[in-house]
Amino acid sequence: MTSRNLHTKTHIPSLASNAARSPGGKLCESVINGASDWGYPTVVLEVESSNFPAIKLYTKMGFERVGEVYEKDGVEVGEGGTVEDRIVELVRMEREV
Amino acid sequence: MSRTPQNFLSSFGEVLGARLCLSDLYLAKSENDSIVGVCGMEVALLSPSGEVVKRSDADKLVKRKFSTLSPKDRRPLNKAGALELTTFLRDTFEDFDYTATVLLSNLAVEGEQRGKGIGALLKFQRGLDVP
Repeated sequence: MTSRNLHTKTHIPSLASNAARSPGGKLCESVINGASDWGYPTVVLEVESSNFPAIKLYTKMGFERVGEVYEKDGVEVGEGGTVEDRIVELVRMEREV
Repeated sequence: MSRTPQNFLSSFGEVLGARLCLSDLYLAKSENDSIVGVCGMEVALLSPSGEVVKRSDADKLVKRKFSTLSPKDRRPLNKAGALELTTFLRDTFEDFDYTATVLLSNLAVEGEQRGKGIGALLKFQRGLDVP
């Protein structure tokens, strides 16, 4: 084994860069870049507090939770496209551009 | 009489007549050009308590406050965007404490495409075919 082989490293990208490869991550990235183009310093979003996969994605994309859970009027789309009013619990997340 | 519409457009029509809060829509497409995700972005206001005021309400809020300014004060802001306007209004009025920001909204990804970020990368690293 040569010294060159001993010093070979496997490249392990960060979780953030993995998330950025998914369609959701790429869409987030587009919005962040778009906000920068418009001259805004931050991007905010509201997400249902029970939507853990989405919160996980946003966290990986650099968003941080701000404040407490709050309630807002929302809708629930059922099977067959039925829409019903309901109260949703949301958290706000922010990221600097 | 015929000068009035002209005056509206040149004096303060830009702000009062136009949509202040920009919005945009992004689509994610697969290699075969089918849509696999969508995400909206729009300019929104944040209230002092951190509540998000959506675009249509934000537009009304800013324009209502803007219209209380004298024509002289309005003139330099005729072509200002939401960020510049809200900053000015916040500095001018004590009862206006909103901040303009960009809201990421309605992010949706097709079920089969979710969680593909790390999965595709691992397959790539193992030398398998990436669909």
